[in-house]
Amino acid sequence: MRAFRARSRRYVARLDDIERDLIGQLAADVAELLGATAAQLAAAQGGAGEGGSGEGGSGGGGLGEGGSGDGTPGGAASARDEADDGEPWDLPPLGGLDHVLAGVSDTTGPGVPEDPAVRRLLPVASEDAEIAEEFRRFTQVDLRAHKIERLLALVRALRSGAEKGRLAVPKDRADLLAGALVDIRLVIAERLGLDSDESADELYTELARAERGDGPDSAAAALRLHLATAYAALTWLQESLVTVQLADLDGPDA
Amino acid sequence: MPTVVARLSLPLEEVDVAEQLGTADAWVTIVWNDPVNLMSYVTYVFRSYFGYPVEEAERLMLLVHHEGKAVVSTGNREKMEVDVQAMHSYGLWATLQRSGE
Repeated sequence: MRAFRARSRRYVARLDDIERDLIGQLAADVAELLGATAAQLAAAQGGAGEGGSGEGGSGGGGLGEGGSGDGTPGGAASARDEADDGEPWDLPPLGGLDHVLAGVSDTTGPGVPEDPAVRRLLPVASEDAEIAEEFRRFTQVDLRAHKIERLLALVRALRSGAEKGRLAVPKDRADLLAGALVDIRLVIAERLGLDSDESADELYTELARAERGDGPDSAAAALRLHLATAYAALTWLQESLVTVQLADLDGPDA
Repeated sequence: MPTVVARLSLPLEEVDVAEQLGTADAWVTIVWNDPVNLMSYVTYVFRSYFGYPVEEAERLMLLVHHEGKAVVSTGNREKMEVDVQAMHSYGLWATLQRSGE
């Protein structure tokens, strides 16, 4: 993995195949947690026939929480199907979506999400229950759709940069990538039980200990180590992205 | 209510000032600390979304980090709802409430 660097109009990082597949799988998992349909996921992952990691759905990343989403076998092909050759990050702005999510069900509607990780991505907006409920009713469908869209954009961007071993984003769309990375890290953090600054620090102690020897002694420990490693890598990638973003705020092409 | 009486007794121009300042409908957006978001990222969000200068963005970020929360914007309720949704989109946790509550 090599840090993001500013090119003329883009930020570009380098990833090897394993890193790319891992991040792509995690992004797809989080999109699925948020309620992305099977058709949306398949479109972003390039369908079954086109190489890549066509496994689809969750599994590898282990971010799912028991039963997966609604798994609608969406007949309606996503509008993104034809967008393969276009700019993966070309998304409508937040609130500008014409509710991409067909049929607002309880997994995609404005109710309080059951999964604590999803609840962190779509958090409570007020200590006043009435205000919080009203806020969800008016904003949650849009916010959820926006978060799904940018996670799927990340999946597409990873795929389109695969040959060159890179991940690229136009500078003026970098917030979409940053937001997608945060959402993945928030979900992993919830699954790892990172609920304080101290427990986040402890994670790095844990990783260092694992590196010194003694491999994981159970499947659960192996999964935890897998997620912790991914979390550390994504945090590093995010830090490198925000570094170039801040540099551009200070003065373009400094 | 005494406050209404008091306000009614204000000279007209003072009432107008109060309304223009939005004190009659003042809400705030609060951003809460979390163990996931990087200090650099929180600073970036405060600079790029709210347009705060570096010093102010860093001051607010440190307030969130050390005190657990900070008021990052004020205005009417509709404006605060937009800000809260934007913060949630960035992955920060924010809430809105009436100012002074």
